[in-house]
Amino acid sequence: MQNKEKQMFFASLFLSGKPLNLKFFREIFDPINMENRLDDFAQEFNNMQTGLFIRKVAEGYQMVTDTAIFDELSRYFGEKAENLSKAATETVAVVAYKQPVTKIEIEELRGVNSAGVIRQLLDKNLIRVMGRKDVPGRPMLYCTTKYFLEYFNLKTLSELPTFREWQELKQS
Amino acid sequence: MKDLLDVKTANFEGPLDLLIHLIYKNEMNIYDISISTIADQFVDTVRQMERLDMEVAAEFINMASYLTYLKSKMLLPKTSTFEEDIDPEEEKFHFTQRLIEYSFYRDISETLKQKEFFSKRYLTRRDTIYLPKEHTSYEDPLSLAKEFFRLIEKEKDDNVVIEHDNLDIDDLIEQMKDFVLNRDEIFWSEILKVCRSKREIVVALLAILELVRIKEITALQSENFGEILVRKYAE
Repeated sequence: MQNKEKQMFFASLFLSGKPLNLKFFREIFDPINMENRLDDFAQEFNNMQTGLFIRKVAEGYQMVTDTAIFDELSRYFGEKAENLSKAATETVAVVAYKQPVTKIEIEELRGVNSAGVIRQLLDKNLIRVMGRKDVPGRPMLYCTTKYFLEYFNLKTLSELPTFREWQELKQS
Repeated sequence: MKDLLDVKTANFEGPLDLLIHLIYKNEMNIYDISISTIADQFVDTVRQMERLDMEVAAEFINMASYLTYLKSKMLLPKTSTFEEDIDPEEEKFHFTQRLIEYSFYRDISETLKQKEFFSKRYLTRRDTIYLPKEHTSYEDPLSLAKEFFRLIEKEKDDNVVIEHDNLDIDDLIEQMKDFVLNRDEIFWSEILKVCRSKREIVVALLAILELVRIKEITALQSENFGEILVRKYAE
């Protein structure tokens, strides 16, 4: 039984193009104590050192290649993916903490026009429109996506330091 | 020269970014900055940008003028009691808060950059592999053919009736205007009674709306879905 579950776990992660969350596994597995079991499976899999790695990300699990062999792999499979610009990471940081947030609010915080960089983030699926604010002009409200967590290898948004934590760090 | 320009622009995301840079350079405490020093250096930097024939973004000019204003306010003795005057200390406090908040996001941005670098080393599949589902029996040739013939049969049956359009909308609107304006008050239900078809009702409604718009009449209704009273417009 457990063995079957383990195989299903590995196989579905292999097939899936995005992280699979607990909700997905709860539907096909016995939900009691499931998260612990899945963590054990992942641990077991990672210990085998197959060149693949199961990471916990975006409130789920994802099968990826091992970072240890990235340099060798990238020679054959690596696409030259551009990193985000400073403006883009800054803007996405504002969205992550202030969501849901409008363009005007982002621009007030950053002190610069952010229309272009917002469009860029939307194109990259790092942020999305989640509605409109109920104020004159009905501006669009932006929030971060699941892919945002995946892109930065975050389990949840709470993994980012809070303002207070940052302040304490700064002052010490 | 050209290279120097690019470096300059790439360095600063905006006026706040430049300010943080200046604060670090002067080894100031962000919680207690010297407005006067920062203002001078900021204006200097903006001037330098202009000298290098660079198009300085409006945001920088705006910030430079704000800092100069704040600096001059702080130099002057506090004599004026006008209410609209800003309190320089309070203004500096708000300014500092804004800088601190920005520097937080600046730092987080750095954190994200590092995370991006490490996360990029995990290669992953983008598309899910889907197994093709079995076809449903609905799509067998016989039922397809049946469906096809049923469709063409149906098409034959339908005789399209085209009614002769004998309503002139403009005329009707004129008629309706006369009808309403000849009376001082009239209920909408009474107007409905003289209409002979749906089209006429629609035209009547349009006419009434038009008359309300040009303020020939007013329309009153006491409750939702209630009777509507149409009355000549009175000043």
